[in-house]
Amino acid sequence: MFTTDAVDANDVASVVTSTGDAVAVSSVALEIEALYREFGEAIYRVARSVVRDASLAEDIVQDTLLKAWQHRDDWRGDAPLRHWILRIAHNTAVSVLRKRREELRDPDVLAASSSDSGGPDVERRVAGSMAVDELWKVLDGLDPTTRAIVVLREVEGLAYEEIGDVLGLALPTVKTRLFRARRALSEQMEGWR
Amino acid sequence: MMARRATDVQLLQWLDAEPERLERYIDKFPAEADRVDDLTSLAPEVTSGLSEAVRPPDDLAERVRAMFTPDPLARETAEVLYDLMGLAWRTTRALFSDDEGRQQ
Repeated sequence: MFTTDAVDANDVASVVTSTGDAVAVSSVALEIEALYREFGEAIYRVARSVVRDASLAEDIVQDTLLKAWQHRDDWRGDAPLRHWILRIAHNTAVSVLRKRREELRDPDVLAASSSDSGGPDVERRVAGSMAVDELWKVLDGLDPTTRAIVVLREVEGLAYEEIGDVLGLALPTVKTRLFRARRALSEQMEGWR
Repeated sequence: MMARRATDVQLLQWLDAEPERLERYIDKFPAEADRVDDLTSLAPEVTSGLSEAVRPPDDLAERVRAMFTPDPLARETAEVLYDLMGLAWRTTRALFSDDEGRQQ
């Protein structure tokens, strides 16, 4: 598991546990808990779309929540809090992905992680898991930012302008990337209907 | 002189082979993006498959909470306090906010 550059998450935890009273708990853990309840699952979905790996996505949720809490004063209110947090999640996920790719180019790391493809986990919880695996194969063919666009639009239901705001992309770029991704998904999943 | 409207076939050809051209086109005629939107809309089965593909594990909340509040007693206290605060927050939002629907 990676740790944040700014502060180790355990520092926050130790603040909570060492004081031993409920006031301290509410001042830190509750704020993060509130962020999680509001945005945690969306953060996971964006992270998962970028890095594909479930375990890494979970780490990114924790890292994003911690960063958002630490930098909460940076949010100016000129954009919705949701966009600000999803931007942190996306940037964190891209950074993790980049770091992971660099690590995998290192022969020592490559040997140690040869059994871990970095792709989606094999555990599926519902019938139709083969179709979801097929879907992941199509998603794998898209670049990470396009996967994020697809998820932000088709799963999170964001408007094109909102996606542009979250990802820092121009509106026409968001649209054409999404439309092309949809074409690929529809063509490859034709037999799924 | 009015520009000629691209056909559906042209739009899809540009999308597949000349995305930059399509970008310029919908940048110039923003309403045309709605046509491409319709032409490329996903089947409901694919959309629900996407949701399933990125669905968080059921115990994610529990694990995230444990990460930030590892002491069980503190975690229990945090949950109770959060629920109390959350009730007040939801009540206030329901009474005074008219934009909740727009955020969805």
